[in-house]
Amino acid sequence: MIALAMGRPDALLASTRAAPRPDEIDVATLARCAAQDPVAFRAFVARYERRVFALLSRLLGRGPHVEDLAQEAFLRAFRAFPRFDAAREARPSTWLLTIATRLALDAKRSRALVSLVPLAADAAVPIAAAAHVSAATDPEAEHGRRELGRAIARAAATLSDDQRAVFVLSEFHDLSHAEIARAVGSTEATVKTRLFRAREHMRARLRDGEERPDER
Amino acid sequence: MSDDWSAWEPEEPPDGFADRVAERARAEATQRTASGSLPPARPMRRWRAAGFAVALAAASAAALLLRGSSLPSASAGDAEAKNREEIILGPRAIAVLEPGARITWRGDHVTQARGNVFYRIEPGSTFSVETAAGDVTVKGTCFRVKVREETQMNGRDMKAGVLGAALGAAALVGVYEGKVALSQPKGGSVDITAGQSAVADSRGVRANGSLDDGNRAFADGSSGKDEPLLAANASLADSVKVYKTRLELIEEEKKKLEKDLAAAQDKLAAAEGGAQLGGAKKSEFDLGEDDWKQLAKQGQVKARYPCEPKPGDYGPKALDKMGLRPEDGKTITSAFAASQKRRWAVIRPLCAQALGGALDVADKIGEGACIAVVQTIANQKDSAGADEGIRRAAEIRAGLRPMPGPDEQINSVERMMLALTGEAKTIEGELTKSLGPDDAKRVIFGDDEGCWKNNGWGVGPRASGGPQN
Repeated sequence: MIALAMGRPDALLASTRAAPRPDEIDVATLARCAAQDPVAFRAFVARYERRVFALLSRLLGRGPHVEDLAQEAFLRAFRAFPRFDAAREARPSTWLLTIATRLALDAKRSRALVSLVPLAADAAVPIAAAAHVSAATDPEAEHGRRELGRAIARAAATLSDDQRAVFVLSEFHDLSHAEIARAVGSTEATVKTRLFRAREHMRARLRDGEERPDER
Repeated sequence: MSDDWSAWEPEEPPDGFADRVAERARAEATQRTASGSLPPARPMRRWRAAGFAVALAAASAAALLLRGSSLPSASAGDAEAKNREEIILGPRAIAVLEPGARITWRGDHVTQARGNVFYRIEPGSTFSVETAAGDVTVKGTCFRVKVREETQMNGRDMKAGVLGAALGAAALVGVYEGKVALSQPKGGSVDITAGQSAVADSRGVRANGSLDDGNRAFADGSSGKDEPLLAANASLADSVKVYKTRLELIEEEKKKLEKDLAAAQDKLAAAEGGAQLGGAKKSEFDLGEDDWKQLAKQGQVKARYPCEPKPGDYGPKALDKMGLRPEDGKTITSAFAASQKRRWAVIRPLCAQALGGALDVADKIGEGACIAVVQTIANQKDSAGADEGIRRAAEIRAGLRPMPGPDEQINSVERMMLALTGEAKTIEGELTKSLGPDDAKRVIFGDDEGCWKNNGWGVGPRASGGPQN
């Protein structure tokens, strides 16, 4: 169904033609969250907690601050729910990740978080090796995959905060350029540029094996 | 080489994270409500005991806020309390009714017919409590209104100053926080601050000392009932006022008739001169049967309906600008209120059904969100059926299909669209009776005044079939 918004459309009058996404929470629960129902909000947190932790830990590195900021992001969402505008937000997850991203960037800018991605003790594995280890099931290959993960984390740690945010939101959370631009407070053109450079930088660091223990 | 970043494992949420966050959200909501409902800490004062009782009532009301789903809450309604009853009046007010109290409310306006009611108003625009004896206006505070003797007087009578209906009625207002104004249309006004009380009765409005003094005086009737001679004099004075008011009303009626006559003469002259009536550009929402046929072909519907009327809408200034009389404001806002009631009677159960039977949630999220919820759930369940509901609603409005009966089985989207798309014409018909056809059309389809919702939905034409023109 296409909503032809004319004059002053209702805030939640959204185009709803698209099939419901199984990875998004249902409209009824969203409506209850908007009515500040804590039970529904618990369901909302349970649905999206992994995504928020994933985003924050990749943006800021692992540590107790991730849980603190995740909690703050959800509470901000709870407070903002009465104003949640389904007509503007393509997905609830995008809206929530936008809140979490801004929170993370603000935390970095205010220097509230000193340490970034914790550095691994072992050597990096070049990205070229990924094809050989990604489908691994044996312990050795699994070890290789962990090494690769650490290498990617270290490479990401060398990105600027804005580049890292753009990279993570695009590669891991499937946000469009427009959605990322809104999340980081930038333009789509800037997002495209940052994303291109971030990918190039990541590939170069991993391809050239720069992410080695002695170079950290 | 394709990029594969998935080896970068993120941190997982710890066990119980969702529970902890939900609990914090609940606590925060509790704190928010409590801080808004309980009077802030103040030095002990002489009305301490009364204040404590009010704090208890407020806390009780605040606790109700937290109960969420079981809460009686609506932007309009009426209530008569058999026991102590707490009611949320729209988004910013709580009323605690003592047994026997009776109120009706709409938006930020309450009419208290009788009894003892405590109010807690969150800061915002003006909130008013109308009683037979006087009106209370506030911008956010705690106060109690006690009304003695119920009357049949309605708001219109009160505004017009028909005091006959108010004979014998008295209202005591006690303020626990902030400042309120107690007034009568022709009896003056008095500001009351925290810890003070005032009374309004047939002798006018006056300060009445402290809260305790006021309560005592009101309890033994000394403020509202005087000795027989005084009462007789007051009665005579009120009779004079009644006659004066009747004369004023007759004068107003005369003016109205003169205006109608002039308008009719103008129209006649225009028609005789071959001029077209209502030369203004037609609104895209002013839809006749032919317009609807076009929309039906395209699988579209359009709807224009008024927002919830607020006190002050269509005030004398705005009405004057539109060339309407001051008394037309009430006609218009009443028609809008009736429109909202009609729409909500249809949309509320559809919304609750979409939400699994949760009428309370439907009440909380309101009409706008409910429209989206009904649409979304219908689409999720049966997208083609929801689209068909749009097309059928357009065809019914075009006269290509009969209007289904209220008990006829049709899908929720069709039912909702029929409720929304018929409102502009229904209101136009109602207003035409009082304002005449041109003014009615201008009020509804003009852009002069008021808050309107203009919506449209389109799903495209059917691949084949459908009723013939």
